[in-house]
Amino acid sequence: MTRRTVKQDKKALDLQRTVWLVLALSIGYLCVWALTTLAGLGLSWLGLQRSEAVLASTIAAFVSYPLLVLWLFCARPARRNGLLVAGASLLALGMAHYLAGGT
Amino acid sequence: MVEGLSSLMVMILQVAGLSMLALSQIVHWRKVMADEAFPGTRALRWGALSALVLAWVLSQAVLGFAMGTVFWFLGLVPCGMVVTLLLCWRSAWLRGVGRLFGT
Amino acid sequence: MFDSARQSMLWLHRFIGVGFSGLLLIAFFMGSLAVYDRELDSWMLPQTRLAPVDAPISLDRRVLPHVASLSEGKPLMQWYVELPDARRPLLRFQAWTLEGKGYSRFLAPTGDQVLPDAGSRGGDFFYRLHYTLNIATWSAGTRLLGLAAMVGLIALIAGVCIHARLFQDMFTLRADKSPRRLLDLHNLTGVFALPFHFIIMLTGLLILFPLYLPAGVHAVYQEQADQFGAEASAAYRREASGTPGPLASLDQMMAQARLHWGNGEPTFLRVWHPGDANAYVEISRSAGDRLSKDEQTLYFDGASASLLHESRLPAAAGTFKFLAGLHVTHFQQPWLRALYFLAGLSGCVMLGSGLLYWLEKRRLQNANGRFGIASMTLFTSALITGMPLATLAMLVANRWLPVGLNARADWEVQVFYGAWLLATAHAAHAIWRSPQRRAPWSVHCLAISVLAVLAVVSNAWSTGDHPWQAIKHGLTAVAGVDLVLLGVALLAARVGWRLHSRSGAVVALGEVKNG
Repeated sequence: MTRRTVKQDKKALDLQRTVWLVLALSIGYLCVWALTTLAGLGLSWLGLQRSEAVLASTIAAFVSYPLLVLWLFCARPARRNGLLVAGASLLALGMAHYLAGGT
Repeated sequence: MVEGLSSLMVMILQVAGLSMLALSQIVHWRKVMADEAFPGTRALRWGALSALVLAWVLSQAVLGFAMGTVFWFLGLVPCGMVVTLLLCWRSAWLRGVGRLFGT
Repeated sequence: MFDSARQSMLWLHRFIGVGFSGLLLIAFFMGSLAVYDRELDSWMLPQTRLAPVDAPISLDRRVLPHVASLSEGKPLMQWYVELPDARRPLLRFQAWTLEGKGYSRFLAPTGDQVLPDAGSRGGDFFYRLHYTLNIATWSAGTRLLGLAAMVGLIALIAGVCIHARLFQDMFTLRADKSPRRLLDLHNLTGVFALPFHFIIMLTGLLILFPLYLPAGVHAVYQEQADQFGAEASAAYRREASGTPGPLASLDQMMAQARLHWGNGEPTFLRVWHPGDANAYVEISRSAGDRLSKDEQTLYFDGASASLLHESRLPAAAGTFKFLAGLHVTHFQQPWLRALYFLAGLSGCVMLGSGLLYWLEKRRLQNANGRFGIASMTLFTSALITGMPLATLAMLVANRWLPVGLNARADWEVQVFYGAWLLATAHAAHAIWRSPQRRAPWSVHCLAISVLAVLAVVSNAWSTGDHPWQAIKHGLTAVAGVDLVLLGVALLAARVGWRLHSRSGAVVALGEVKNG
């Protein structure tokens, strides 16, 4: 059996946490990208002027992102939350592409 | 000139209000007022609230609602630091504020 | 991974702090300097030190006759002037040819003088550095700072959540306990300026959203993304006709604009397609008396001077301009500007004290090994004292470099980076020689003090505008910069001397114990 020192354990743990942070930042970005797309399309479809729809959805996105990442990183169960949010975002993006006519 | 004087007045009120808030904590009261009896938190905190609200009202009267509110929030930075540094190194200077509330 | 949500936020706050405080320090320090970019322009470009003039300026007489000569007679897509204001008593002229070549010159408000080419980038250098890091390839610098600002926001929120005794510690500074006093300082500057730090980072990110999150533009505009800018600012556009046409009186259009706005002065005038029959003139109102960047821009027909369009911002666009205005501080209120500067510096103190506290704790725990401690010490030293040293060296070089030097502005920038490198190299040497791997804080502080005094003396010697003289001539900006430099010199000298005598005492104590 190999002997791992406390220091090696800590390094591995730190690496794991860093990877999770990068994932949380990326999944969060995917999510706000999807939400901004949907919100922008939705608002302009509801009759709002195009530039207004873009600005409103973007401002909301910038305020939500840090809270979303913080929640993804700290709340438990972390893995399940991450997968759920990532999956929902991909679904939302797909829906947006379909609604917008698709590219 | 008027703006300069009233800006100064706003910050003096903030220093006064924040000193009262600091003195409402018994640790700081003991440091500044030595053996004088602690008058309880209520009077000091009401005093602090009044001074800070008055500062905000004055700030808005001179600079308008938006600029006045921003000025008030930003004024807390130097005023808060001044009160903290006074408590740290010149606590005797705050005795005057404490005596207003002493029994 | 974590035992509790609090532990995860603590780890997150520390990780982001250690990893990104460097970038954020650059942004906050340079951003604070940028609040006074025009005042620094006055100091660094002595040929622009003109006393403010009260008489109204006639653009027809002052600018129009010079347009062709200032742009080498080339056909232009647009030219514009920034009109003088309280902080800059000059006209700034810029022109863009059809091929995209730019011309930029300062004009004195009266007389016929075109001021010589600026031999320095002035305060603009610090402004650009604070959001681009001067790395233009792939906008890498801007993207990096964007990431830093966003994780900075996350760290800020996490910091508030983990700050256990927010109210009890609100005025607490245990100056006699090291390294506890660093944590106290970090908490104080973080809490008192919390609204500022949050708003500044959020609005800074929002301003550049087409780079950071273009999802909305892509979704709604798809192929027509370039139309977004014009629609968002409710701008007016029309193409050139190709046939020549006259230009009506610009002064008359400015008078019409003043009448239309009721109160407020024009600050910006742009002529699109000059010389063309379809030329039109854009006039923006000064945002000097308000927070929002909404300029209530008016568009006039070039030939007939009739009003074509008034840009009225709808709700979201107005909100966006207000938030942007909170960040870029175009307002003229001097006391509010001073408070922004102080708040920016408190951000620097928050970041610096956080880094130093983390470093001291690691040093006490001996957790990282000598190389880790040494490299982090070098890193903090390069940022906390190295960056101000580089700035001061640039100011001194600004006064000492010969006026006729080719590419003088670039030389100044080289001095900035060179001085930064030199300070870092000196710190590396000192840290290597120090038994406890300590940074040469006292030496750097004393160097800052010397350079600051040298800058003031150099200004007085090369331009004759020492503070008393400058105030007499109405050059408050120059006097202001000089006085702040003197203040910095005093503070740095005091701190440097205390650190020197304290470390001397520690060394002496060590000798007594060992001897």
